[in-house]
Amino acid sequence: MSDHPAIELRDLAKSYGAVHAVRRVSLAVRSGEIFGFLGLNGAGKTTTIRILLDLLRPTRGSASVFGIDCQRNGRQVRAMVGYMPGELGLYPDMTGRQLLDLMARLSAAPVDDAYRMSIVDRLELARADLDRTLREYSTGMKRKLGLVQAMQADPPLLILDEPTEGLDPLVQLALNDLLFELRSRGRTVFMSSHVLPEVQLLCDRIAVIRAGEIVLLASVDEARRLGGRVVRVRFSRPPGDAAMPLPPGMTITDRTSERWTIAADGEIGALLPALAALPVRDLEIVEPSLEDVLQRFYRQQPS
Amino acid sequence: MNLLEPLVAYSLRRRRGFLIAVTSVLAAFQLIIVFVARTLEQSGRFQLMQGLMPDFIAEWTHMGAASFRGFVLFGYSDPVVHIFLAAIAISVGLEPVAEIETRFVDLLMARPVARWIIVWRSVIVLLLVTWLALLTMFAANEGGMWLLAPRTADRPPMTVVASLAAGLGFLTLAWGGIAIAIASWSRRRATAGAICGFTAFAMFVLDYLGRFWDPARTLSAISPFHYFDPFGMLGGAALQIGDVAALVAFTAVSIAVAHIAYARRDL
Repeated sequence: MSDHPAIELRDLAKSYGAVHAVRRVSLAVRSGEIFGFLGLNGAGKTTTIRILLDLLRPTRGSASVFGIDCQRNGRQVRAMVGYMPGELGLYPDMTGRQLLDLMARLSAAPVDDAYRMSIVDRLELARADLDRTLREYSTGMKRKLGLVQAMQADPPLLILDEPTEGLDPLVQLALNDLLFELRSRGRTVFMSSHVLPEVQLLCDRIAVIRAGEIVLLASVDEARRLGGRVVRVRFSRPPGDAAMPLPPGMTITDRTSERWTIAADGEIGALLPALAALPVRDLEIVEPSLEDVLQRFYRQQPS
Repeated sequence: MNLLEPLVAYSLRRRRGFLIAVTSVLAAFQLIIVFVARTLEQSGRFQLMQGLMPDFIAEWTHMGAASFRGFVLFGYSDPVVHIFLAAIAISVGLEPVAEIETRFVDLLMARPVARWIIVWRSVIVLLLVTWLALLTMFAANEGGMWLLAPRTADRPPMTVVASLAAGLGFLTLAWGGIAIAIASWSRRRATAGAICGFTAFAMFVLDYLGRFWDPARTLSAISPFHYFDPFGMLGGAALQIGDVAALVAFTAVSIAVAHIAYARRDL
């Protein structure tokens, strides 16, 4: 299992007539990493995930999990996967326990009840709630149940579509701990998310998908470096309106009489001579957040 | 690993309220029919009705409506019951599309479940529900006659009752099979249900026309209802092997279509 990437997508495409939901997607997720799959709504995240589970058939290309083709040997693949869908379709007349039991019986690996209940406890889903029907569940409780059913068989690969959606901050922290723990035991986590601070905290690597195409595939640190830095300059008096030449790679993104914000790609030292003639009171260099970087990738128009 | 069993059990458990309601209605209907037949028999009204009945109806129904023996089998011969059972079968057969529409299929098929299992789960549930409904009708009918039939009444022979039940069972399965086939390529339960309902109604009307109107007789062979003739059986005709084969063929072809459609589709 470890010789192959946990997930490998090769030139994957899915079209619905003239609509291209996913096109030319290629990426590899290493075994034992937490991988973030990011994109705006409708970018192709869920379509890609559903192809991995053979719920959808690709128009072109292939997908494999631990070297096994997701379409030709879908059952073998799904035997190694725990999946939490972004949109949980649940029958309201079932109880939480009935759902977990049914999913356990359909799993390839036996479910250890003690392990299952430990996840239930850590996600703060009251045990008594498992015997209530799902129509009595809040959105957050349903999401927790969705996470439990995905994790209960302790699969080698977890695919989580928007796992923290609807969870309160404390449960999000508990989930983070659980995912770190799974990674430390060699499990792989492939998660889609909108919540960038969470991705920054959890993920080893990320891919950004936009309009069905991968536009960024990098480690979180590499991605942050792509954003360059931001230099905030405060003045003791207005520096005047004269246009000032900045070194290459530096642009003023925000300008008032008291403050400039400069986007800086490259060495900050090159900026200092240019500022020397100005009445600078304070200089602040800000490392970019992943959010800054990703917003740029989200907003760029596809070529 | 047997994945069919938990899926069948889960499907039946979800339907238990529906099944209790349906079997209660069918059982109550049988008991009421026997009770009414007893009343008519005791008051001598069957003889009166026989005298008033037009010849063509008497010939068509083999006096089904004007004798104790025919009246107590009304539950097997009445078109409303046929449509009711077809509707039950259609509702059971639509389970695959219901799972797709609600996205429950994402949870089910993210497990190592082969797609044919979903189709066969529905086939097995259909078989169980159909035979449960017929068994209930049979038990209520026999129980009603045992409790309520006058000693002098001419009871229907068991072979006739069994033939009617079997014929009705195969007809119900055929409609369930057609529903599973339609559900296997649809995306919306309402669309699939409307298609099934409209088809069943159209086939029912076509069969009805075919029985009385020569130009429609040939075309009515495409209707599953064509292969179940309860009034012929009331008159003593045996269940025709050809009719059973035709209904089994409807079911088998529908299941084969469901297999292919579900295996190839996006869920």
